Amino acid sequence: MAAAAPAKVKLSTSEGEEFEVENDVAVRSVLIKNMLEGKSPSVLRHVGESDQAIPLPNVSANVLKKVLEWCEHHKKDPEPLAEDQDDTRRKTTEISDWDAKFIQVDQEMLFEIILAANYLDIKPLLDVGCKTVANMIKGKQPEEIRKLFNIVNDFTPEEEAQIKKENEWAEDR
Amino acid sequence: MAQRRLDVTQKAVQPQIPVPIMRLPDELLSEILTQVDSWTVLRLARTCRRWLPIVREQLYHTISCDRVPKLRKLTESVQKHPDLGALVKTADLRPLCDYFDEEDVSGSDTGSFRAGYYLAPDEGVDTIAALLPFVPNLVQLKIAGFQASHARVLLQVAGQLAHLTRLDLEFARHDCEPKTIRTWWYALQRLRRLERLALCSGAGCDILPTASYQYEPWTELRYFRVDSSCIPREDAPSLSHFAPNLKHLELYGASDDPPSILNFLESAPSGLEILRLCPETEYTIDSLLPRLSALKELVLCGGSFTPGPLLQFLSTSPVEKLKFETGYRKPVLANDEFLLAVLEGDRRAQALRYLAYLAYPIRDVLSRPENLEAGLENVRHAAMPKWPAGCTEAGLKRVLEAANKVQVTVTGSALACLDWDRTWDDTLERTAVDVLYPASSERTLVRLLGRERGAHVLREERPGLVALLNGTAEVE
Repeated sequence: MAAAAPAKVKLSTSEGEEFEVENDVAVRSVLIKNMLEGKSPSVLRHVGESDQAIPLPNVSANVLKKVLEWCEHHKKDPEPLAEDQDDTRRKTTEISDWDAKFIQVDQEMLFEIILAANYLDIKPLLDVGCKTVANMIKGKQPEEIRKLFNIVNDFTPEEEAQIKKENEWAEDR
Repeated sequence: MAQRRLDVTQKAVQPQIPVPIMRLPDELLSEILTQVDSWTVLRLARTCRRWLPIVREQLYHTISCDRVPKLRKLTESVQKHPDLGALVKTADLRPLCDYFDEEDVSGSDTGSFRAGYYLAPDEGVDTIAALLPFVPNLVQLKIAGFQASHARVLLQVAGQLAHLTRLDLEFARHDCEPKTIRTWWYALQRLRRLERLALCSGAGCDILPTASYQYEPWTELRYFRVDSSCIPREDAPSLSHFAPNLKHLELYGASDDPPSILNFLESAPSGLEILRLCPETEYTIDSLLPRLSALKELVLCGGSFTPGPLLQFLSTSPVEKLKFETGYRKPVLANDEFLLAVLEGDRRAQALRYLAYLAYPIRDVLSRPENLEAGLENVRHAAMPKWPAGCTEAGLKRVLEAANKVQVTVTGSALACLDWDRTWDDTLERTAVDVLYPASSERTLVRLLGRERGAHVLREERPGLVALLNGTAEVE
């Protein structure tokens, strides 16, 4: 087989900024993959052959750049098998060193990455994001969690006590 | 003072421009919750109004109680807050008293049932009776520890479990009078939407009623599993009548009456698609085969067959999955010559896609203390993957080649033999322990090996393993 230049695709962010990336990087996103394969109803017909960029109105340029960095690093990952996607496996899988370093960002960016991974349908990246948030929360008291995420306590002390009481059974081992 | 209800629909008081985490939609917050331990989940519930319903949804979807005090608290909670009870879809109830020693309840492990057979105290059963009316949307229920006399509990609440489609009952050792069996059956038969029913019992609890009982056929029932001495007697009901649309039948345990087992099996409806037989009783399934015209999956652990009739059956039947597991006590007759005949030649199994052969699972070996009595040599010998009886290395390689040609997937411990270096090494130990008890400690090891003697053997002869276990130990 002749070595051809890798096929590329253009992506357009919410600001209208365009990114040109290799197909095998872009297809880490199932949303984009389905568009390129013509599987999903897309605003663009024949998007693969077209010169037009795929619009990603929900993703800003700085987030897309970060997401593409992840896709680039993981472009050679094997496709996950259907039977591997059960919950137990996902629960026990650790975050790799590279991913852990990648996701060391401020909260603003962390949650933007999670939203983008969800929108673009990049399951492994979504997992990394969710696990990272879970690790931040683990073992913390309500007040600590609120402080961590700047959440306003909208319960009265009585309500908080009531919730504690109603779930008391679950505290028992 | 009357307690005011907590209104979760009240608008959350959060800033106009939400903080980053609050921008996530509910389904993503819910996804994060699944990654968090239950202790933390309980804290999240008290964090803010937005999260409370999401946490409740998860916390109450599946409830699991193995202590009476816990069960009692849960019951009080759902009685007080019916909206929480309405969230419960799955329940696993093992009403054990705190004064029960754990060693007393870790008995035999049969399939999906975690613990062995134990007796639920009456107060636990009464609490279950009080709980069930408050979980009206329950779809799946598992109860362990019932005695025969607890039939009244199910009878009391059966009418209220309108959505229940899956029921697992694990009975404690107790003799059933025919009258009690009838009460059980009367109660069970009120669950008209049942799709899955599993009955498991300790020795001596015969739960199937006799054929003379007036059955209303369970038209929804697709899966039926009977265990141990629930196994039918000679006057068992006809499966075709009792569950005319049955697709999946599993039969485990021992019986002193092989003809009645066959009789029971032969009464299965012709639409049966999955049959799993794990009898500790010797009988051959030859006469059963012609009736299984729709069978897609056959699993044989123990039991026996004559190669000729089984090959004949497989060559014309729609069986896609075939699995042999050597019973602990005796091997199945599926040697490499037989497996080869299944895969190639005139009588090859036309529809076959998947073939498995499991010989001597490690779990079995390690959970039987008698294997340890003679020291580690015995463990090593027993845990090593075995060539199936009558198989040779060359023969199994031919089986693999033949399977490859007809695109049949082959799995099983016999394959492990092909790469097996035949030495007992840390990898095997590690695998065995990792698979069985991911967070291990020496105490777990004792439990794993059944008794002190087993742990002593390993401690003396394999200090490396004990260090390994202690190194990965979590505080229990």
